[in-house]
Amino acid sequence: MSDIGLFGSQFEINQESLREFDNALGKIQSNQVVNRSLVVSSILSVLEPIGQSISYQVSLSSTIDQYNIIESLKKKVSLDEKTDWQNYVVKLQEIIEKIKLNQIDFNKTEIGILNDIGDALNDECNRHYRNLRG
Amino acid sequence: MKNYLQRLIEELVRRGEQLKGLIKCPIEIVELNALAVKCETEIDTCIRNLRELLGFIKDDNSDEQIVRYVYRRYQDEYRNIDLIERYGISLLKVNCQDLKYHNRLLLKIQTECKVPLTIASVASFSTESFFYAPKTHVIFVPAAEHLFLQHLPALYHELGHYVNGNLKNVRLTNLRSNLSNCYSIIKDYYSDILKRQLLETHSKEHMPITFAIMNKWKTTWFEEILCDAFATFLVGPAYAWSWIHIVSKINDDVFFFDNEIYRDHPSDEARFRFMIQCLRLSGFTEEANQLESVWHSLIFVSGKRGKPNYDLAFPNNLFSKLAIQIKTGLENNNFILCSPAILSKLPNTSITKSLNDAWEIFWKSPDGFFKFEDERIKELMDHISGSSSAIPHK
Repeated sequence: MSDIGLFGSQFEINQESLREFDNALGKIQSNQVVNRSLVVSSILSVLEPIGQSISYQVSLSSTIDQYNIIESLKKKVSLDEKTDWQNYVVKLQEIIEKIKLNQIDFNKTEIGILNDIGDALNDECNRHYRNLRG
Repeated sequence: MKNYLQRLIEELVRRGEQLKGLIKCPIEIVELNALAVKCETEIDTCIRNLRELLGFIKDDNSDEQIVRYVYRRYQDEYRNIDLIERYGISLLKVNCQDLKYHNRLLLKIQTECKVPLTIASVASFSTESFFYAPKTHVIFVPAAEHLFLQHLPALYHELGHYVNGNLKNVRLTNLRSNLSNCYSIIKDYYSDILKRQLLETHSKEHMPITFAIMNKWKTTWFEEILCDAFATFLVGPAYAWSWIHIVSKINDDVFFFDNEIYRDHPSDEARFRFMIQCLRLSGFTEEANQLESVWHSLIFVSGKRGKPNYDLAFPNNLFSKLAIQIKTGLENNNFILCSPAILSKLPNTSITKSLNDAWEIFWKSPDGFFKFEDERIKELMDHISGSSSAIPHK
């Protein structure tokens, strides 16, 4: 009856995605990838819906609010004088294509973008968490 | 930052260990055993993950990107431990009669309705009406709710959130499949509208609104009406009556819809309309008519309507398709759904029967309602917990 239940379930959905994503990213960053296909699918489960939403495609593979994630990324990019949103989107789409080809050897810029995605998802978790705390 | 982050992580490990120490073994209220196990398991996982993070941060080669990663992971574990403390450990520290009663009541509801999951827990000290905390599987109810019957159908709605949060459980495979159909139905419904809007020059400006509505359905609205459907299919008209009762007390605008501001719940009116569809599907035609008649007579409903695009957000033809899918999913997973035939055969000790009886008496013999309520609660308490000592002396 109260909104808290909805905040809670949104928090859980976002947290589950964040954990799956970070678990895979942690393995990549520490060169401990054992199951490459699992790492690929974990990263793609977060990146693909974002990529689709950026291109105004409807994604039902995730109940995460992709619009908030994209807004969070835009805000981050706007604070960085060296990059603009269009270039950032191109780089993000390139990373998605690269992962789809099973390639997970990322340079520092790409790891930075993956961390941006993780941070945006983390912001979403924080938002629901703050709502939950009232 | 690295040194400070290390201290933060160590502090959180210590908090986790201290929280574990607050879980008494054996548990005083045995009905909360599943909660104790859940809290302990979650805390153990957090501590393990935090210790792993210490390994990352102590590595001399860790660069800025690693620090970003570790800080994010730390925040995640912090939120987790905080929510376990807030919505789990706090309950485990309480020991009172009505807490036992509420937990046994939920056990009886889950058994009556054949909810194929372990029993969720109930905390009877909510300061926020009824709500469900998914982290710990606890339903929070207001402190005096065990003394009344008219709001209790809301427990079934919260139980719906519990079921929805556990759809990956193999026992809910059929329901999950039907709910997946629901998301496709929503997508198809609004995709068709978007296609039309794209072709019609004067409608293009509406596309962002249609997108926003679809996004809201996907993220929160569907879950909310799913839980309404769950409660209506399981406990019948009592849920819709209880809904009117709650809305009458706390509503502001039952037709709320705004193109700029999207609330997490669908409008109260839309939810009521959806419950009526569910009731009609269950065979409660007469009761649905009575409910509609009362609803339309209410001062905050009569003569009111929603803003432009209200019907786009909450359309009847979408509701009917969703209601059918949800009912089929529940049936396919062998939940016991409420119908006029089933209701007529239930004994007084059935929760479903008691909650519906309460509303029948409330409308037909209002003068005798309080007496009925007291007697039925005593009967239920005696049946459920073997004692009615949770009722204060009057």
